[in-house]
Amino acid sequence: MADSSYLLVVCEKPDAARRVASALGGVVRAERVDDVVVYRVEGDRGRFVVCAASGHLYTVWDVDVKKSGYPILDVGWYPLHTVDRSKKHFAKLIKVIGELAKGASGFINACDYDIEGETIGFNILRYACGGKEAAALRAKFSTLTVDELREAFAKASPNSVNRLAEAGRTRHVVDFIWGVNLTRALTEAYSSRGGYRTLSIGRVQGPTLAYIVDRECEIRWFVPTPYWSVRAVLEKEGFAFQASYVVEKVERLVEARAVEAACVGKEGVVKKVHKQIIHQHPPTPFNLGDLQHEAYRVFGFSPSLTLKLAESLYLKALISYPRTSSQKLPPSIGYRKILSNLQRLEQYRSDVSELLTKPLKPFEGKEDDPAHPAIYPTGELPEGLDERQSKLYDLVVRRFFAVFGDYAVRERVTADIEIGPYLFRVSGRRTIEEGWIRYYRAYVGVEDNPLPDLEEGDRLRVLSVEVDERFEQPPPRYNQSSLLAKMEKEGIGTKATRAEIIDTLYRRGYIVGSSIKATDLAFAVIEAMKEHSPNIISTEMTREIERALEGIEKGEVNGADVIEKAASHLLSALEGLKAAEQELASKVKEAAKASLAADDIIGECPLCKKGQLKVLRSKKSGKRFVGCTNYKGGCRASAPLPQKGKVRSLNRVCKVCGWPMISVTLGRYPWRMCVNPSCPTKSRR
Amino acid sequence: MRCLLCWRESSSKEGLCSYHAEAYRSLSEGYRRWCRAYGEIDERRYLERLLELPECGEWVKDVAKMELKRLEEGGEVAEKGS
Repeated sequence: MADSSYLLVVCEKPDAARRVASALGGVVRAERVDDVVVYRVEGDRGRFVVCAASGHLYTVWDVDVKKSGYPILDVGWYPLHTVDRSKKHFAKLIKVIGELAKGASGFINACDYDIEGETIGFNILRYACGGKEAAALRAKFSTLTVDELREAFAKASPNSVNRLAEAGRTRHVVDFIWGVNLTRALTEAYSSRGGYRTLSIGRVQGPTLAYIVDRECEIRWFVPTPYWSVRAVLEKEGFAFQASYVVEKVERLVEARAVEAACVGKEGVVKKVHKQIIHQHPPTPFNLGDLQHEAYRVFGFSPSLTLKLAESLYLKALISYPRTSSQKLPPSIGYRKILSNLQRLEQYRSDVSELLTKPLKPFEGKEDDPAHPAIYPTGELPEGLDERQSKLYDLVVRRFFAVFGDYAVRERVTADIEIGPYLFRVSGRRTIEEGWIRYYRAYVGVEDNPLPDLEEGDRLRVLSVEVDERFEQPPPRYNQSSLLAKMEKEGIGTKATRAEIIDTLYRRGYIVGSSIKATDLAFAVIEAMKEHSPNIISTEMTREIERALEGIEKGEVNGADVIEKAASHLLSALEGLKAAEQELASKVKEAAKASLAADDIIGECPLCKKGQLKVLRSKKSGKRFVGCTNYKGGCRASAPLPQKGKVRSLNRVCKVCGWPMISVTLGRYPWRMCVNPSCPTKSRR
Repeated sequence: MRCLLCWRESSSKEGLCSYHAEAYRSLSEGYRRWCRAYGEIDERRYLERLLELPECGEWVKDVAKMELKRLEEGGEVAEKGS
């Protein structure tokens, strides 16, 4: 395999390797070496062999793999395939990279330029290539377009003090020792009274779960307090509109009725009209968090799905690197060139033509990222995108247009109207100049509610006065987007890991539903932590470690000190857990049991209204079906169920017959159904 | 001893776990607010209305059902409005 004088280029993913190879130009030959695809490139820029990892090829693991129990603090880096059987194909990959390294005259790290990419590249260069991490050059790029890749390779420079990699590797060590020790502590506690179940909690998972449990408590303890609002329907020259009593929440019914009684049959007199012109600035360019929130809002995409789709668009060279915190678009990305390229697409032609007629200056946000600009379309033309990729791509493109738009100009009119002795208020809005909204109209809900032309002294007919009873609302449950926002606000996790942490909480059975609900298991774990080891779920401590990790990137602290500090926090937390092992075991066990039992409940019985419909198994046939828990009370509600697949309650009832709805997952996609076998929705088919 | 309303251990004189005991306190405080808001409201009506409201918390509803049952059985609703 020896091949003299070539540079070995290490990429993070196969798609990136293919693009890098073709950007390097000359003759590109894809070759299979021991089932691993590598690209040999020969051209004006020299000779290269381009290879790709498949994400992380190395992981942190316990030095003494046979050791059971905890604490585990002696850890090292190992090839992933040696500790995870599902990754055994990585063995060939590492071997091939190692062989190619022997013949290389130099090395270029071309993994994604961020903390994870740096860690991946560093580990490959150190372990697979035999200690080449300090000698290797670093190619830094934000898009996989030919021009940018060529420029990045031309400017590739040595990276001997690699703080980003040190920060990344430290983060992996800290997360591993927290994860493995707490998981073992919880699992051992659970097993100490017989039975076995893996229970885990991570460094960022703990506080995140605590937010959800705390919110769930607030919701479950909530008693809605009544209040009343009074509204009047008024008319001017045939134009009817509604005004509200200035006290938005009238706390006592008697007061609301007094207002109503005093206004009925009276005339409205306009006392004051206030007109205000509002200049609404364009949105800022997307960073990853903003993109995840917006995609959740407009398409309902989960943050992890958005990240996955954005990465696929990046690998197709359609958008810039998505794992960025930046809300800035530097002129060096070439605004005009990007827009001119996008003009070739029919759906963007007229918007681009308009934008190109004026000077281009993006409206930027405050957040910055030293490694990458905000997310922007590269101008490459999309091909073969699936529906979800197309949607996300369009969102990125239209947002890019909008940031170059003018301010939108809107007029807000507020009028105070006296009816009897009481003052009512009405507000209306209308758009004067659409500005940036015209480019982003598909994704922004700006509605006009114009008022008649009101002037002070106008006398208006009161068509009706009504009192509405309302109730205070509990705080909303988190959804994936608002939970992500909470994590961002609290400064825990990173832009790259937050979505994955939320997914993990679902997988562990701690949370359910799109409107996120904590399970009994989550309550038991958080309760136990609060009592015996509050540091594990402390935002402050997690944030402190997070800051220390950021300090490594800035060169303020070194990795070893951060690991030592995190380990000392961990050891004191573990002591608390060990001391309370028995109590913790009994609580968590009962919660796990209750959680399992709750999983079988699919909703209230629509027939007796007393019992609950539950998934049961027939003693005779062993088949599962739905029956009412009030069977002994005489309720005979029952329904057949599909015999295969996972059945889950959708926590809502069928709009047609009122029986509970369930989802059945068999294979990749779940389907939804009403459990009532006689539901009219079934006979319609 | 178990909570009267769930699988957790009871920790209050009413025989409720800490979560349902807190819900009980909310229910009692809520009644005072409702009395002020409506001028006057019967305890039974208060509990029935709460059970109809989607905004009302799950643990509060558990306690409300228990209290309603006590009322139906002719018992006193402990400490409400006191």
